[in-house]
Amino acid sequence: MSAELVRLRDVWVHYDQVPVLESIDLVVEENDFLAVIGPNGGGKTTLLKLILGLVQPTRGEILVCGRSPEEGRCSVGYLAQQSPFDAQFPIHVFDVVLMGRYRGLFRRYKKEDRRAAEEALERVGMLPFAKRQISELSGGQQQRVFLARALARQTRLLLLDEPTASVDPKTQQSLYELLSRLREQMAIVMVTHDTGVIAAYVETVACLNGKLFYHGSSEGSLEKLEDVYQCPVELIAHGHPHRVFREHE
Amino acid sequence: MFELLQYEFMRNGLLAAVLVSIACGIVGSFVVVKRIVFISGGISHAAFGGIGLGYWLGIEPLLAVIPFSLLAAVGIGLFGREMKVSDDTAIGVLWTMGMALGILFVQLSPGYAPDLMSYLFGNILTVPAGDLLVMLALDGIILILVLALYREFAAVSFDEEFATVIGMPARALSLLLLCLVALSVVVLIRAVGIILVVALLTMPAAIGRQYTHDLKRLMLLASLIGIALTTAGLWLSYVLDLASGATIILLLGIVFFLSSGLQRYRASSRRVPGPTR
Repeated sequence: MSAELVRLRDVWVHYDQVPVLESIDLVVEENDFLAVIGPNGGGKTTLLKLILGLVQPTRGEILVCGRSPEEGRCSVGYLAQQSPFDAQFPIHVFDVVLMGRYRGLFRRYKKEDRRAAEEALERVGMLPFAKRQISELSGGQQQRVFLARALARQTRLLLLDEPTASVDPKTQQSLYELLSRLREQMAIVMVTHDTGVIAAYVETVACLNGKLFYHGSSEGSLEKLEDVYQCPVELIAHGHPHRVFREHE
Repeated sequence: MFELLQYEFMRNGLLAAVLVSIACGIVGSFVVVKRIVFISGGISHAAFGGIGLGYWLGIEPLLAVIPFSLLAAVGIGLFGREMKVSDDTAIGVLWTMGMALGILFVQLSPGYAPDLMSYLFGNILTVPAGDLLVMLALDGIILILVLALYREFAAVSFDEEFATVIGMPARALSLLLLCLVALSVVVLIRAVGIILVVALLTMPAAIGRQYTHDLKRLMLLASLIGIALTTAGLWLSYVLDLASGATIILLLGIVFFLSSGLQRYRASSRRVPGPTR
């Protein structure tokens, strides 16, 4: 069972004539766990937005579940790096997550939607905060709520843009464990700068800096990482002795 | 106050106050939480072009405002995105163009434009019965659309990008929301006039927001605050013989400041006193 979820064929993106992504070919299959790494401005977020149909390619073809990104959206969950929301918005945590269960006009939320929302909140450890106002939470807690909102959709593909950027180490750890469990049910594409997690949990890595420098198993990515970041990078897998990498010279 | 109800103008005024409050409670809540106060200001001022058009064509100005303010709403919404111009700039351009058109239309109209001032500054005591019907119909449209599309409007107000991702036509919904603002502008013009409309779209919801964290309750609360304060303002303006629109707005403003002060006082008195010095 390795159905193709995402296929990018020779995809180019320009922002005002400046190429952001150049000739990207990428395939994500079911149950993949892909980390997208690369320097700032390397086009990582743009890559996710392409898959979501939020950014249009200037050239090339993108298929999500064999359809256009706009049509494929129903199979994709998404956690933005920074959700462009107003923290003072009068809404409860539970209602934010329930939004993830939206299925179309006039299709009201049912019991199962409420259950799925609760389950998603439970998974990120935010169920006790369900009745809280979103403005009463810290940035990291809000990020977990938005992760729950993406999870509640129960999609085949989950796109995460730096999910741990504003999250404390303990939550990071449980988040990664959660993700490695979720892998059984869905493919995950995660933008991250956390090289430690790549060694420990991720199996494939895409190094992105305008072009796709490397795409393959995380263990082979070491030398390429330094090319991409243009500085020494250490890959150390904490807590997973069987997959510790040697320090790179 | 009850003996005032025997006058038809007073009954109409009260009815207008209720109709106005429903529009500003429901749409104003979105205006405040989505932070589109100045887009709404732009739409309402641009609507002056519609008043002028009405005079020029010799049709009821309030009816001419409907297509004009809808056009302004769609214009500001699309202009900003399609031309890659900031919202701010789009508002500045359309706000003034609408008003300038209005001035030209009024100038071109034969004779003197009667009660032009009441469209600019409002007079809730002289709302004709025909206009009340227009206001009632528009309130009905607003109510039906918001009831049917509440989840969608709430989602695009909260996080438009995610609304798109979960398959909502987010841009169309945002435009539709601006169109609701345009319709409510038409409802509000008679009460406080084009120049002060934005106050009614802002203040009742801004006051209500200090007391609830729930968008639906906010709509209800803002409507009730609107009814209470526009009625009180109407009565005050009658008793003191002052312009009704301005009186209502000043009363809303005073209550807003009092309420903000009260919230601040309550917040500081809740705080646990720490060790001093």
